[in-house]
Amino acid sequence: MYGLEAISANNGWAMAIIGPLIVMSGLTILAIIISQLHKLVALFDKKAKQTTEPPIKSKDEISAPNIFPNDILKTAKIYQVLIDKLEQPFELSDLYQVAVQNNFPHPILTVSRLRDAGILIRESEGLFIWNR
Amino acid sequence: MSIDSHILKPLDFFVDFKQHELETCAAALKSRTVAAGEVIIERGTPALTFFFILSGAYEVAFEGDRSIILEQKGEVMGWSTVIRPFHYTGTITAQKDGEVLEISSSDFFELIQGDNALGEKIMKKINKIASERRTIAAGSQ
Amino acid sequence: MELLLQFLSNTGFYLADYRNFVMLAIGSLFVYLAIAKKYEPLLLLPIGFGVLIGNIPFFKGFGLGIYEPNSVLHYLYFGVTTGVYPSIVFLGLGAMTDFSSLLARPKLMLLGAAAQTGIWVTLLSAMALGFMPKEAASIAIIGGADGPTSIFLTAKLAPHLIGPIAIAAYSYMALIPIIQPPIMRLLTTRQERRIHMSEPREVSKKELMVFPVIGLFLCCFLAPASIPLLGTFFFGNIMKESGVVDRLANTARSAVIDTATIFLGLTVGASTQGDVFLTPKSVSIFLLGAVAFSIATASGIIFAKIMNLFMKEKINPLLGAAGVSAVPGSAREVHLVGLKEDPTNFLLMHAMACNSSGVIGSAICAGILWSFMM
Repeated sequence: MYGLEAISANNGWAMAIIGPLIVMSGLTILAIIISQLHKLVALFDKKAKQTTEPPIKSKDEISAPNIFPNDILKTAKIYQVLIDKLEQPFELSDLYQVAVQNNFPHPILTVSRLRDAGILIRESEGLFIWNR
Repeated sequence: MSIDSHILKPLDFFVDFKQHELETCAAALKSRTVAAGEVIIERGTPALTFFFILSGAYEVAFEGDRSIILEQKGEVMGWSTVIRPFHYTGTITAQKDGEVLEISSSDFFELIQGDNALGEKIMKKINKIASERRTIAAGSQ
Repeated sequence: MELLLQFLSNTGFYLADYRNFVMLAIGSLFVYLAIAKKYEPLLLLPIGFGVLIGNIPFFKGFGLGIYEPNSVLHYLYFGVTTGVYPSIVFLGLGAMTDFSSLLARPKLMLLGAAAQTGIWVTLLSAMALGFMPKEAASIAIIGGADGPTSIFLTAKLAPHLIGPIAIAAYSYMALIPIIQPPIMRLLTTRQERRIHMSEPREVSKKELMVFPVIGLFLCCFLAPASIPLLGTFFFGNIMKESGVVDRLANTARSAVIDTATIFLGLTVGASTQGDVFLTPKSVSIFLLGAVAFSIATASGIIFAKIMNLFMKEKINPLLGAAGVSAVPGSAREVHLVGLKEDPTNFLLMHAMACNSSGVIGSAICAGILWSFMM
């Protein structure tokens, strides 16, 4: 048996409709669950902290623009607030970390541009200073 | 021979890597000694391994007569392993005895699979190096 | 003299027919490509040498061939026919897979589901071409672009097709750099290929540890037939992420997966005996495999474009091509095609998310197909 007749006889149409629906719905549910996972984890962490530690004063949050200007000097100005948080000299991984914590976009590329522009200068092995 | 993460820390390429990232890289990299005159990469052959310089000096000869010398610790050789064209674009010959760190493409892609963020970080850096070297190679034509 | 003649009549030279030579040539080509051209050596060398071993003519009844009970090769092949090797390979894969990019952007999981469309379209095509339902299901799973999953399902449903299906699946996985980029370029505009993805959020260790448990429950409750694959996969992953059994996780992603890969490749290669492999069915399987893989790539991309119609933050549709489960080959291709269009566009991490989702998606499909055919 060949062609459409074979597909119908072997229940192919039903399989080809139900199959992808099951996969799609399964992975959609999984996606929804994991999209909420960090909130759940944060909630548990918060509860655990509340029972063990006294509340900590919240730090001032730094607001970062969504898009960084092309002018590297303007970018450096925005990064200055992060640099103020670090002790000089500092490791680039620390700068990268505070940038990520404060939702600065594309920190790897920006740090690389700052280095190219001579704003971030290597002082010794693994340590950098801010040349502004 | 496998290496320790403290070897990577002073290298410029790894300067912004966190400790656990250095350890992951160290586990994937192998050190290799190179003798003066040894050809470690041959232009046009499939690119399957890339290298970081630990010591020594290496001449990269591109098509035409253009060539450059790489001797700075931590410089990358053989970037075509992870970026097109996947075959070496220059022949690299050791000018003196030295030591390099090497990683094969299969090990590198295993590293990416195991730590996506680290993989992307390395790819970004290699891409930057590749565009610089392409400019040099294009200068020969 | 009689003894000598008898001996000669039992040698491979006497027993060989043209099919043996065709297969020996194919095996030699695989070995050559692996060693001289260094082309996918981890796959092609064991499979190629297996083809050589399996196609040396021998006197039937000596207990030598892979299909003869009690032969050494038959015992090694047991790991294929029972699905043991694919299950072990999945353990290792789980122990080497990082789900952080998927957890950071769960929407991309849908692309892994969409790319499985190739499987279902191929199921219909294979049925229309006259394949029996179990054979059609085994051929269709090639569209998942996952060698171990294809072998696992075929071993359960159509063991006589393991050779051609495994070779087709691995061939298309190796041909990703040739097959996928033209489809990507055909289905996307330059502007779409240049879409930048924002940097994903940082994923906590706890999330990474909880994910394999949730994934196991949800996927395996939905398709219990995928337990042999996804059970070991998520077990491998929790070993990696928990950090309490680093030694076991290291062994799973190195020695264990390597051992399974060696025997899987070798015995699948040896199962391609000329008389079993060189049939018109094999040609159809290869053609259908190509269709399956191409549709899988295309459907992932098209689904991404559909998602963009409804989403505020657009996703790069190239990522859909990484919804097949060929890890990390298809993610790398997506990354490179994106990079070619815009040297500052780094898609690797996002593509890895789709890739990991594709692994889960194709294993669920295998489970569903198996239960449909029960």
